Amino acid sequence: MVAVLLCFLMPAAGLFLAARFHPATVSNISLSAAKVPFLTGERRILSPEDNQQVNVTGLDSLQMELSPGAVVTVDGLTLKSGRLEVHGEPGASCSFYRVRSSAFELTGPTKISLEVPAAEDVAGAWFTLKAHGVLQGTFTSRARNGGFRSGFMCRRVQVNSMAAELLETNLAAAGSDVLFLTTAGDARIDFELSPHSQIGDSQIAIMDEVRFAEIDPQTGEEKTVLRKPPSGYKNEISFDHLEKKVSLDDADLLVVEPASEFYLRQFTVKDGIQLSMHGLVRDVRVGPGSGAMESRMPSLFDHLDTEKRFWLAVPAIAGVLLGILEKMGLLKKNESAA
Amino acid sequence: MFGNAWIAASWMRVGLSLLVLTNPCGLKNFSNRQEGCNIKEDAAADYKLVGLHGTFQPFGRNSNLQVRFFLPLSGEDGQRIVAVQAVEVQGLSNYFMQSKDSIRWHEGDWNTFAPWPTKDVIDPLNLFSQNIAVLAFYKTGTGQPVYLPVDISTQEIKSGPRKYTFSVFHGQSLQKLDLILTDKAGVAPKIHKPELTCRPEIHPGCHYSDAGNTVTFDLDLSALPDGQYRLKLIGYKVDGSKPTTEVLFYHHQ
Repeated sequence: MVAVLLCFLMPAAGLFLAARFHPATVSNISLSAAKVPFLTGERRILSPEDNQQVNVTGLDSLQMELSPGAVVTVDGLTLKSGRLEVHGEPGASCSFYRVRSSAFELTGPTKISLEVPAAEDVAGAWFTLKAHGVLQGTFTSRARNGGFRSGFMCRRVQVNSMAAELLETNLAAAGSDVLFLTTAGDARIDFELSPHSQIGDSQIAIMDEVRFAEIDPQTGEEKTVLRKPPSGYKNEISFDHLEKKVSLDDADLLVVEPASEFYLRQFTVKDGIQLSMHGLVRDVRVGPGSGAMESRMPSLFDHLDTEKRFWLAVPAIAGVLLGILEKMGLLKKNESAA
Repeated sequence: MFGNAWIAASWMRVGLSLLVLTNPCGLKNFSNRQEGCNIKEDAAADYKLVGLHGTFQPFGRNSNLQVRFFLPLSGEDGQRIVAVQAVEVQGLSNYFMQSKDSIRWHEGDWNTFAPWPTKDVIDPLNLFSQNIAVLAFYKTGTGQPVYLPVDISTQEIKSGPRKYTFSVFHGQSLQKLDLILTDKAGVAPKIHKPELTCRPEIHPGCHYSDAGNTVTFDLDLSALPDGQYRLKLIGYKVDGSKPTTEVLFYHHQ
């Protein structure tokens, strides 16, 4: 009687555990989002880009290679540019007009947030990169286009060790003036993209949890940053080698917890941030609010179910082998049974 | 039975659990303050003053900060709530600190808020001193806060020039920000005010500062008498609308 009970209980317990254990699984995640915050150890980020305007808040230093004869204005006084050392004070900011930005170098593990504003907030196409960690990049002036020319202005800086409220200059009409920028430890860079912008990046290793949420300053509550995907895109998670796919509601919160080798495979900025992530994830939690998040990871049972042909083959092969052994007389018959 | 990969994964799980336990996020209670990761509920959508500093001495790790401010006599204001708050200027960690209501403050005198050790929350979050904005204020029955410029240091501070640094979060993209300062009588004193604008002459759709950013500017009140002042902020958006707000603060030499 006990043996019969055990025959039912042991598989039941095994199946119960298999259904509740969620092993790390290789996942493909495609999303449309307004904000993508992550920690990375990459050395570079963002593709080079032609910009209408770039605003940098949080400046450490700016070095200039300006055309001969360029004139710089510091608090209303004009200076021949010569060699100017520009350093930012707390709260320093710079605006650059009609420049081409390079990729940005990261100097160590950096917390990054890629963001686009709510569509109704601004005209034009703006994209924001926030960084907790120093960034280094280059801006090159673009040739004058009709009435629009390159220039820049910086506030709250020290020019050759003298405090300056405002530093500004027009850059060469022919373009090719070069500005080397190093940001402060916390910085924000806002890009006004050109109409045919291709800004984005690929193969960015992600080192920590990615939380697709932001805190609403009005309530302190977490709000989703997922967006309704444009045509041709999906908010969806699929798991490699499994048939399981999870469609995501753009009103839900999403948390992705990487295990290892997890990458922001690609992102582009088009009607929001369109991104694809891939790698081994420990957990993916989805829910209507921060108190009701549930794992959407496949269970061990799902993994075993996918491999059912393999597991079914085991008893089949074992049966064949036992048959062969019996034919060869290598199996002793149970005498008491006989 | 248990391979190296299984053992490594188990250790990783233990490590991550410990990381979660030591993560300073969420508000923690200390004897004189709450500190952690959160955003104060009264944050405004259009503008929010997040910092008003007199002196701010940069600090490193393992510092013990002091916040000094002058609290004027209550006069006819009646019952007051006094608080010291701190947030990140460029927020990726949602850092927040607020003093406890139980602290007894001294009216008509300088007050010091301490201790505020950085090892509790600021260091574990790897925050830099340049990215911390601090406010002190009192609220009266009307609920409108009157801000009190603060001096932040790791040691005792003597009064210096009263050149104040304002840090203002704004929720909408601005082409320009006008500052109008008046005293309690409504008279505009003559002081230098920075010109906070982009360059529409070379880019008509330019942004001086983008939505969700924090702008920083100085006003030097060293030559002005003590008292309550009103700073009106008038923003100009590309579409012609003008989000506006007013900030009250008390200036003391």
